Amino acid sequence: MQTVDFKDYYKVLGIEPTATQEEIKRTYKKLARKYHPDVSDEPDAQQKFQEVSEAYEVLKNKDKRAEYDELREYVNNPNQFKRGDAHGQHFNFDSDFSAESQFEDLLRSIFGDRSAFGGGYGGGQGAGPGNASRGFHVRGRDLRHELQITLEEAYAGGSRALRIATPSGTKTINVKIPAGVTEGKELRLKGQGEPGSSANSSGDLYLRIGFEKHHLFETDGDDITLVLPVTPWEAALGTSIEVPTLGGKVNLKIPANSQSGSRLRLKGRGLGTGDQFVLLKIVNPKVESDEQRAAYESLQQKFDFNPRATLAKL
Amino acid sequence: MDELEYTLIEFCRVTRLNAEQVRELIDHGILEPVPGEDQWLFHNEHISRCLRAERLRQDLDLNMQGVALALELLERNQRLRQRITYLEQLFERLGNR
Repeated sequence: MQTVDFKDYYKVLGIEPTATQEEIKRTYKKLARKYHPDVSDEPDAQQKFQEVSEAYEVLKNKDKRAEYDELREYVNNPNQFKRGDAHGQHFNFDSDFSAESQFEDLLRSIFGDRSAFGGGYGGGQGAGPGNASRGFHVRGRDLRHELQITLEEAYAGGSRALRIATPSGTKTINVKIPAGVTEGKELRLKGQGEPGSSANSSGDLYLRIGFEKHHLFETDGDDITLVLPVTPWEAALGTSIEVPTLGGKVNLKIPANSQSGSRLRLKGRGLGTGDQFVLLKIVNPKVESDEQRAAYESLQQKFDFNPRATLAKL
Repeated sequence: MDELEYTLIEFCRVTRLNAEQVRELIDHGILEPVPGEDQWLFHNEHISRCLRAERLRQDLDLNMQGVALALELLERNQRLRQRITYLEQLFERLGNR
């Protein structure tokens, strides 16, 4: 049997042990909104939410709170509780007394005998307090994980061997990545969650897709964008350039008189039915010789051009 | 993407909700299943949305209208955030790189 460490629920909620029931409720509601995994930006939101939920479940009920307070008092000042001192109303503080086991009993009386004992009380994973006892066949809890994949994998699809930690050790599962999957999508792996009460009642595993940073492309939903550096003369005269796409190289026609920031579209070259966009970035070559300087000076003479004409109208 | 279709019964099993709860989500426009020939059909994507709605309702003690609003705002927030990240990255690539 796994023992449960004693937790100071007042510290978890950040309140005084003398707080009123109303204060406890108010604080919990505020923290629940702050740390709810579906709402929160905090990196450890899930864990925090479970902690405050557990704290509230224990403290919200006056009787359970009284039991808890007594235990807490004992944990903080064990010497005051001499044998035979009959101090506690609920517990028999004799030589066999263990705060941990009493604490565990208290939790059990509130949360029931969860299969995930020691693996976190409180809701958050779809199985909120009380849910576990619904029906005869208790389904295991659903699990959620992030899965970081490359853009290439998202484009072409593929499979990944994923090692996940379960209460009974790590297991490796094979995850099929559907071609064209976009960032933020959730893959559902049936029966790969926590085990339930019978063979067929395991929970599911949800994998949320994230993309690793790509050295060339940025994604926006199912569209991808490539920033393509071009020379001033390529942009001015127009040309055809071989550009990378996730499906291999293609030729892209750059129209004459293109500007920096011009956006060209390669239809159907994104993820799934998405497109690839090519954003032109005009790059000036550095002047490193007299000849090159003369070339720029010749441009200067031949163009009567003021790119700041609109600024001058102020 | 594989767009598995679920009947109401299958959907209830997967989401651990009862038909009444699912109906309520539909009534509030939170879930929009595909009207099949003689019954609703649910897609994979409905599952996460439905579970998220149920978590918000239960954990934050929201009513259905509150859940619907929270979901819409969260999703809008997420889209905006993704868009900002995308534009920031592009801006960086257009700079001195």
